[in-house]
Amino acid sequence: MKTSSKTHHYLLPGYVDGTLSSTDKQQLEKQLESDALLRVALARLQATDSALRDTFTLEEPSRDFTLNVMAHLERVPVQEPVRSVRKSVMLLVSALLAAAGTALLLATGFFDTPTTTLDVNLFKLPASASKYVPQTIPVSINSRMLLNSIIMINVVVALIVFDRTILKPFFQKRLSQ
Amino acid sequence: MVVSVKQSVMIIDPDHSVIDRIVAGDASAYAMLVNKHKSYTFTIALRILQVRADAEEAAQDAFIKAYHNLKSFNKESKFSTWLYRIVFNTAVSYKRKQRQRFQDIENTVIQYAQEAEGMLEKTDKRKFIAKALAALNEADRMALSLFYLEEFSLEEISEITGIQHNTLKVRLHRARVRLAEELKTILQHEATAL
Repeated sequence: MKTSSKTHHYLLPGYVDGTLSSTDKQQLEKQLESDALLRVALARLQATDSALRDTFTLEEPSRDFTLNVMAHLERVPVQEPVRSVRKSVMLLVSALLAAAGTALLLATGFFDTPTTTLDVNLFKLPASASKYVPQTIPVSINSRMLLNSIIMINVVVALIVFDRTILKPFFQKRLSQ
Repeated sequence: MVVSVKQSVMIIDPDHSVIDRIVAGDASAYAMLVNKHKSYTFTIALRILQVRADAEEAAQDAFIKAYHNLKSFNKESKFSTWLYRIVFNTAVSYKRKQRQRFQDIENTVIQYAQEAEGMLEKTDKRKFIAKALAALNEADRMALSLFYLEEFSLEEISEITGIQHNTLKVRLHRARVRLAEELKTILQHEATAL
């Protein structure tokens, strides 16, 4: 057999640590007799293991460590801002729903020609002028631009929330793995 | 009808009696816990942060956080495991700030290699190990560090890091194989450079 099976390689760390069951140990030792590649892998792992045991030693903090802790014991620790995923998802959904709802109303022409009337009597015009001015003036507002801006802001907010709560934690986690 | 009864597991831990004293108002007793656990706490922080000053600050911060949360410690685990989880999380949070400081991950890796070399004795063996470790990712390095400190069982490492037991076993296996490969490459490179 030219190549060592994956299973045998997988057993090697347990063999080095002495945590294999007697059955697995016997099986591996039998395989080691005939498998040169497996023997090389074992030797390499044993050398790495021995080097790591020498490397990872307990480190000591400064002499004043305990004194420093005790001196600052009453200091209220700074709490990390906890970004609740549930709240963030709610915010994301709300922003998207608001944008979608407004876009739908815009598409159906709901905001195309909103009109209102302006009561001229509110301005208390002189009697001479009032006969030339109608009592109410119809006012038409073109709200499309304003609403498009609101949709745009909502979408931007949704994208920021998506980035902060989903993308950033996901890539940070991948980076640390 | 099946009735499930949640059993609360009480661990026998000498630290628990000290905690009772602290919770009862004897704050000075906390110094005993700090003295007892400071080395492991500092070492865990150092393995993550790789800079002694940052590790010291993070470890102190973790002890202060633990003190303020002692009342919520339910004694279902060893105090040390609970404390090391706080240290682990605090150091990871410091690491994020460190990353922002160094701007990109490559700087951190380079810095790790330099710090690790400085920290360890300049023997070739340790230098090569430090180089090989710098090539591993942070999670694998952390798993290896805790495993080789020989204080922690796989279950405790799993509890401290929040990594599932089986995932941890796979990660340790993968990290050791990767490290062996890295060492081989480094040594081959050194041999050809001579």
